[in-house]
Amino acid sequence: MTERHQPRALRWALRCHPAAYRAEHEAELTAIYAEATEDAGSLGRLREALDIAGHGLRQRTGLGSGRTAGQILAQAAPLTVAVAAGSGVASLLWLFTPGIRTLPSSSLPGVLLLADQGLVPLIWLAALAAVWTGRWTVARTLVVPATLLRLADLPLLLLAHFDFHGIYTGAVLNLTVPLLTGALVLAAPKDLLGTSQPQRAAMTGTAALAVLLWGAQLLGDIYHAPALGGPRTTHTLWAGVLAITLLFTRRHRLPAAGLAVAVLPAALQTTVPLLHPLSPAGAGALLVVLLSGAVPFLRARATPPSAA
Amino acid sequence: MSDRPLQEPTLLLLTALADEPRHGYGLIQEIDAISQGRVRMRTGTLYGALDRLLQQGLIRVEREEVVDGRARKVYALAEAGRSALVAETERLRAVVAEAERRMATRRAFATGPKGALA
Repeated sequence: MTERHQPRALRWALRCHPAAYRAEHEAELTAIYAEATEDAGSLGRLREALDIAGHGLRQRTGLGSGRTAGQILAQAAPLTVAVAAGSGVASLLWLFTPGIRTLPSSSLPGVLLLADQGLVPLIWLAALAAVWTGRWTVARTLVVPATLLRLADLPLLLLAHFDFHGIYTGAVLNLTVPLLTGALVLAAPKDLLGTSQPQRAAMTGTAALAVLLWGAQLLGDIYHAPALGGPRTTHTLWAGVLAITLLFTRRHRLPAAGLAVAVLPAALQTTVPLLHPLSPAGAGALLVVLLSGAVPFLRARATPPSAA
Repeated sequence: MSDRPLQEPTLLLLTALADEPRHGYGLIQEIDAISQGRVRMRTGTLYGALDRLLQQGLIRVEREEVVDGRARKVYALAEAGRSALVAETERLRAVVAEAERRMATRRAFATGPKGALA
């Protein structure tokens, strides 16, 4: 199959690869594509082309399964789903706990927003169930609507909110956090994704942690609970988890880095509002995260080469 | 290689190469057959896995050929890949044996001597 005779979807998918890689592997990729899609319909051909495009983008961005970044993403993907599902449980609690919702349910944007807040957690819980049973294609497919619905929160929030004070930070976070969460799951190299017993245990622990932390933050926000340190302290909990995880990246490189990446969206969502405008809690959280990130590098530099 | 269990796509790929060298599409078909249609590996995913396994020295390119005008690389299991597959097979065998032992214990308990509690 010459380039002129390649289907358009395949040509587009092959262009996603770096030029050098493409020059070396294009003929073989084209041959495998041709054989794999011989009896396939247009949807089958499109899915095959998308998979090749994904491979090309991973090659281009250094996220292939042979690279450390790709391996970290593969560790992070199931845990990211667990964090999102755990946050979904907290969202449902928020939604169904009477008297705490601040969104108006009388206007259409408010109603749509509430429906969105109810639907997205259910999709993430379904994605968690899919990952648990090893159905990664289903899980990754579910992540797309979950991300798009979360992105729809922003215009709805703008329509529903009359008080625009501080909306800028919120708007940026409402865009970046769902996009980052979705990207972490979708970018992970598929050939490294599976569901082993240790991974299930890690997912259970991470989901439980997420419910606990988001629950604590919710309680802190509602009741300004002094026992929990008040809202400012509970908002730094995810940054604390990130900091602790970073400390372990030298000894348990891939699992610890995977967890750090998985909790990053939650840490951003909860810590950034404390930094803009800057609060003592936010400055403290940022400092702790930076120090924890630096410790493994400092230890590595301090270790004599003979002891390594 | 680490002593962590192999992920399923890796295990299926190494298994597909265990008896004889195969080309890319042959691997897709073989994985489909081994997993009884449960795992349908797509071209990009397969290629990502092949890149990684080549880099890790678990497989090697046996030869390159052109069949019906189509370029093909034929992949074979390297010695390190065979060792990894043997280790994983032994690990899985131990898990299966333990599962069967426990299920047999439960069956024996459930169908134990009648009237034992009487």
